[in-house]
Amino acid sequence: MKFEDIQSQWQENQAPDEISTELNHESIMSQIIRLQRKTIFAGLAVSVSFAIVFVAIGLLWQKTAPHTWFFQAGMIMIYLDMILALVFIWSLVISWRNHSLNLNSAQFISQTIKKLKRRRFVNRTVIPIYLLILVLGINLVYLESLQEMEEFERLLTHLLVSVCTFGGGMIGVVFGRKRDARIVSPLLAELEEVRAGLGPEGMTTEV
Amino acid sequence: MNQRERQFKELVSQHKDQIYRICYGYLYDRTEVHDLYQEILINIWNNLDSFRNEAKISTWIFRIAVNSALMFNRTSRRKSRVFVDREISPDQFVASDQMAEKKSKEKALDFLAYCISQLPKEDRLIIGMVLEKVSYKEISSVMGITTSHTGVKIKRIKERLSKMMEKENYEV
Repeated sequence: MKFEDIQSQWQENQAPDEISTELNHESIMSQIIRLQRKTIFAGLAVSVSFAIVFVAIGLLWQKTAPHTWFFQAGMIMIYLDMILALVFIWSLVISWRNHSLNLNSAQFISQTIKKLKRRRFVNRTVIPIYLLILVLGINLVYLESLQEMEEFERLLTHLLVSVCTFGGGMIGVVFGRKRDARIVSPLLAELEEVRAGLGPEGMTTEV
Repeated sequence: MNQRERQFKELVSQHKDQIYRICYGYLYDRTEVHDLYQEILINIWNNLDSFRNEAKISTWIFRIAVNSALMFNRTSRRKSRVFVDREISPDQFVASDQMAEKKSKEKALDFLAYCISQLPKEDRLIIGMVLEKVSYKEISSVMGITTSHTGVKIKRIKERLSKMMEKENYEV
């Protein structure tokens, strides 16, 4: 059989009816729109709750003034952390539409590898630092707020808050690492393999 | 129905068979083909804004399809590398009663799809486009490799496929 014949025969393969019925355009579109709305709604919900916390802490900060330098420093740390978290959440919402899919594969693979490595870096390095700053911020605020408590109670509160905040966050990091090992690392390896398979530099039009 | 929905519907109805064949050539496993097909449609919808009229529509569709296929293993639906680890021997194509009943043409095509599934990922996608009679220039534009290198790769893929199929007395 000639290759041209195989080409012609291959093109006789048509998307089966069940695929067209199951995946009709309307149902796919409604699914996508529902998912988009859900993602945006989740982002908005987080933003609104963050805004409430922002205002509440801000009012408390103002009403209980004057404050020590460590209270001020702690509050700034908490605020910066919250802003960072909000930026991160919205960047996920915005990047939900993956525009880089229309790039050529060499470019797409390079970009995806960079994104995946960045994601791994965020999970392994940025989040633990973020948690440390948050714990430090809370403890600095508590240094002032708990001044009138007994020394033992103060120590216990500092310890509990630190362990719960950092520990809780680190559980998320550990789960993230497991997910990375299961999904991200094999995908990275496969993409590196495909990139190598496309040919050495000079044969690709990757920019 | 708004303009975006109309454009999407038009694109998909024009290219659904091509998209399906790219998925089939890439995965071979029909149940997974459905998942990938759906994912490509979702990605087409999400990327509609990125389509500029100066680009050839088929190039744009193939880019979305090929890149979606490359990312397909990310989904939790796929539990293992089916195409590589699949325990199917070429003997099954000869020995199976069901296969024996099939016309020789269909049998050859099915075996071709199986052979394609044994190729490296990028080669599966390239040969998928060759079977769609896409020009070397367009394939190079989709894959991001030079036209001359595309030609070399296609020649090698055809040789490899040829060897695999000759073992079972099919010629390419």
